[in-house]
Amino acid sequence: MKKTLSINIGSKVFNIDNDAYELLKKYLDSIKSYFEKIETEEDILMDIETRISEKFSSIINFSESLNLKDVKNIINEMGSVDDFKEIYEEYSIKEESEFNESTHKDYKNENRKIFRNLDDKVIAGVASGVANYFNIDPVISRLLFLASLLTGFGLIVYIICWIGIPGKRVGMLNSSKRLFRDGDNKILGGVAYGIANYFSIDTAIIRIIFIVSLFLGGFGFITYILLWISIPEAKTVEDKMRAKGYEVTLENIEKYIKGAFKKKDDEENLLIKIILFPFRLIGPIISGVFSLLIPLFRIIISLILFVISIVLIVLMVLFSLGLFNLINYENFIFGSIEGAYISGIDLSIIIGELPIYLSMSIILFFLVSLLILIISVSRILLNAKNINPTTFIGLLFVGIILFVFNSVIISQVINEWEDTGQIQEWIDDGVIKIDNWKTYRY
Amino acid sequence: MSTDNFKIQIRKGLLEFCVLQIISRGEVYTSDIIDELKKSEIIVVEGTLYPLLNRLKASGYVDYKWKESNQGPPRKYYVLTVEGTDHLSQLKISWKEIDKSVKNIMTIKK
Repeated sequence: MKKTLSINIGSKVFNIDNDAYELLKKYLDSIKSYFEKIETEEDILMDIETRISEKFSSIINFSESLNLKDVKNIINEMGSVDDFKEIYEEYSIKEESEFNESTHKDYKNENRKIFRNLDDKVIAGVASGVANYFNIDPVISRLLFLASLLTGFGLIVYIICWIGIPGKRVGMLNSSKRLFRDGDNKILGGVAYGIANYFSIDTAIIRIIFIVSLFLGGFGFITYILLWISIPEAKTVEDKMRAKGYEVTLENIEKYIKGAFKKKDDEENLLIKIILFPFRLIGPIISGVFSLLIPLFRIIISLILFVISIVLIVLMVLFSLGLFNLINYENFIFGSIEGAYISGIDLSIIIGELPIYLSMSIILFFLVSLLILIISVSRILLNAKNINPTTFIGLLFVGIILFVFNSVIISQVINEWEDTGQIQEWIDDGVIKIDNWKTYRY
Repeated sequence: MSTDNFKIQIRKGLLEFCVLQIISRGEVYTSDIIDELKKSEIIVVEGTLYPLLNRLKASGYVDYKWKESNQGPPRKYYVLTVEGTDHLSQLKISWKEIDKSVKNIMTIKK
């Protein structure tokens, strides 16, 4: 007796044995992930499914179910991803020889565009995109980003990259052997198993190294957490095969599913089992915490940006009022703002004294910053995709120029005020508290 | 080079030519193209045809229309475009030249 499933392929319904279904699904998935990378407008997968459906209906009657042999035959007739690759490789060779040198360069540049890889991401795919661009393993760039987070600098760079670099689904690049965590054989996050696979050594050795290093000042713990975040989990059969360094060909997929490649992991001896037991217990807890942390991270960033936006709006209002000399005007909307103190400096008086062009330029700077922030929040929190990266980079550029311009002018104005004794007057009037002023200037 | 490899390479080179030739006769359904190619042993694995058709479409040599079918979903029928007809006649000329050269070489005796 065999369990059968009912599938709909090419708008027709078929009964299919469970094992045959697994093989067919893996086959179609491998084709799908391949053509997604190429980004063709036409739906090749649909055509192929239609064809397979026709073949199915020609070989079986309504009441019969498809078995493993049927599916295998059809896959043999249809051909594997490798067969498709040949056609495309030829095509790209033709492309290159047909065009002259200059278009050839453009073609290359097209390929060298940087984008965030949405198929290979932890937060937003920035690190894997950078890795693809420089042709390194994403794990390296992830670790670099994590390390730079400690200085705070990395966070800013990451956010700018997140917003500025367009996202794209390109699948996992680097088709050769890659470092993956393996969820099937994990104790905590599958890191040790992944590393062991990558270097083709026994998992127990890596696990013991990690555990021993736990007692060496927690170094192993931090390393483990960093690697857990950095290394992607092998989710598909292809990933799992790649983790072990097998070529993803149809034959190998089939063998893999049948278990020919599976290592016998039952060989762990009792001692190792006892040592690993507590780690098996806390594993689910830690991975739960992780899945909570990443959305939390999104929310915290957005919250920070939101607070900054509010501050910007308040400052904009303040400077606008100052520009029209309305800041101390009795019974205006705000009444009179008599104490807009920032670090002991009463802005409400000083703003009124600024040259008009400077006030305007400062307001413009706030406006641009606000726009940048709004775009950032919509991108990070709402995943908005309708923002043109060029516009954003342009805004960023304008913002930086305004910032530099304003800083230069402000320092000139302050020097002038010092020379004319204006500053001293303000200090005497208590507009500027002398202690704070000193820390500002010196 | 084994005879197998020889055959594979030649078939591969001629695939596009043959596909265009079949489509040039008039509207044709994808599966019928495959059946004919298989019968004449031009392709071995069917899947390769789909990327090829897609590429020909992208190059503007062929186009397709959907036609209702009384058995199953609507079907894609391919037709040759004006550019495709030009391209095909170029390929035909090249093929005739190659054919002639090969025949010449084969008939010359020492």
